[in-house]
Amino acid sequence: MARTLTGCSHPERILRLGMLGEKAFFARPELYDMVMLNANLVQAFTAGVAAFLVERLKADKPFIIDPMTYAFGLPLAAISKRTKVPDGYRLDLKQTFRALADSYEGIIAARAGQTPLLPGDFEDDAVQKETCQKTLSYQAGHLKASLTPDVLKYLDDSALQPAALLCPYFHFSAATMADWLPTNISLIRCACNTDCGLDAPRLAVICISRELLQSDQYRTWLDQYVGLDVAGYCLWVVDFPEADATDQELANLRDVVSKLSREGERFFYKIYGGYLSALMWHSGLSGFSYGPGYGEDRNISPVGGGLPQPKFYLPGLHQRMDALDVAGIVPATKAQFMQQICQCSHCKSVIGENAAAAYAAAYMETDTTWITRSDGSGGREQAYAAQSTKVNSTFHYLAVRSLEVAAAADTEPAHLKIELTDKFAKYQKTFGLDMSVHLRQWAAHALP
Amino acid sequence: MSEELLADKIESLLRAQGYHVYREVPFWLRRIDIYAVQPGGTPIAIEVKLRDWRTALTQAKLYQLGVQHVYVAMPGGIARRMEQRHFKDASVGVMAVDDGIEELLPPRRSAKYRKAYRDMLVLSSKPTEGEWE
Repeated sequence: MARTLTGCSHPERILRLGMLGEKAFFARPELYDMVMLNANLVQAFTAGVAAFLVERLKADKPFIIDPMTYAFGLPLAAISKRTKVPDGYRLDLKQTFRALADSYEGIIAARAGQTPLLPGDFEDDAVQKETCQKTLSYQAGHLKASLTPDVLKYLDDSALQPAALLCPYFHFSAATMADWLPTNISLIRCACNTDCGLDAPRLAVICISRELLQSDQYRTWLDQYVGLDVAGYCLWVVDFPEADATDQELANLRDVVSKLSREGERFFYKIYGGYLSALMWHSGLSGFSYGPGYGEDRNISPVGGGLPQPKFYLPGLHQRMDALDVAGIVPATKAQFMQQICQCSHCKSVIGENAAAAYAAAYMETDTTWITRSDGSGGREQAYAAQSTKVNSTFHYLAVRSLEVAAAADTEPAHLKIELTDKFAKYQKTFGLDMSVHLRQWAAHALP
Repeated sequence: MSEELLADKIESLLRAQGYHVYREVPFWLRRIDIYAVQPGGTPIAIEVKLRDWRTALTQAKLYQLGVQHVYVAMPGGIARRMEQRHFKDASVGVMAVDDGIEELLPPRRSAKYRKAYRDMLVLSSKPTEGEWE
């Protein structure tokens, strides 16, 4: 049993608003417990985000803001756009990050768009103090400050105040740990002693490369973080799909969760996570964040390639899959579908008596467009997922996640292991070993 | 020879046998290389590959959701050397393409076929030439 910010009795479902266009997926408050916002989104669309939160506050959904300070330690190309100039290209800091940096003032504003921040930039205590003051104050008050008095008079004092404050943080890898780890620890200590006008729990964010979970090297950073006087932690293991986790990564991650949460006494959140994270409730994990459309893992630099295609989240595998692969196992009737595939609230509403027809209509609807070759010599029909498919796939995913966290919390670890083992035996026959082996791994290493 | 040239060859051979042929038919977010039907006959889908029969078989099995009879077509030399047991187990037929088409293994009717998935085939696209279905 872990401690949660909202007091709920299952792993907190923290739904991440990555862009305002995803607001529609927050319309069903029973499908999430808390909202996580990126500071650059808050900066770019302050009024829109504030209005969105006021609506959500009616449903008693708290929020937290990721200060995104790590972005200012990345190569400029990661947070810049390329502008064509006569002799090539010029990098211009994206407007949202420019504005965010200006709000943070100090060293962040000075370096943004010029050079990435380095650990040496924070050697001066005054710089640390200013960075902590500005980034915490931003989380505490930026949204509220954006509202006019005639709007504020309808809200109580706690409106638009986050449930917790995230300390400024920077990413480190095995190669940069010796440089960034001491700076991160100093910033956290400083943030815990900084008054920003809001008495909310301070959470330390640990943003690491995956290799720092892959050997005993994890003890180096764990030992540094574990003794901090913070209310809790947020761990972001960069580019770490949970289904790919190795035996050692799972064992080390569980040790990290257990030690940092002090077996449930302190808050411990995983930034980006899925069912594996839900299982770690039994080791002290409080909750985990995920986006409605962007999956359960993420790199620190933007990844190109356009919007991901909607996939069907198969509850038995705890993975998103190509809807066509799942179509091969869809049974004939609704009752069989509920028993064999999914019994989430969304499937109950969209799957009819002819299960295959209903599944295809809800989760595989396409629109088409004719793509003409650039030389005009012909073309071909291009199919893409219809908007209804994207909406259905997302609400199904969110509804299944709700069932998953409830089941993970209510079921004894020994029974969860048996369930995972049974699912592995079933799905390896259908989808092969590669697609299902994570279930066996999780059964063996993710639970106490 | 490229896959496209191999598909061109299959298309012209099928047309000579009276099939209406559609190329690159959208099926969900994938594309069926060749979809062909004779007037009054049962449609067939063909996955065309030069070498990688495992990938071809995986694709063909997905097409069985929407098409009752599915083939993998490969150059004759490769198709004849291939272990056909996997295709037989999956009810997928095998075509060898040389100067003509030889059916090495006939497909069996797909047990996974559903009308709902057949309806997802986008046959509104223009056939590469000639008639519409």
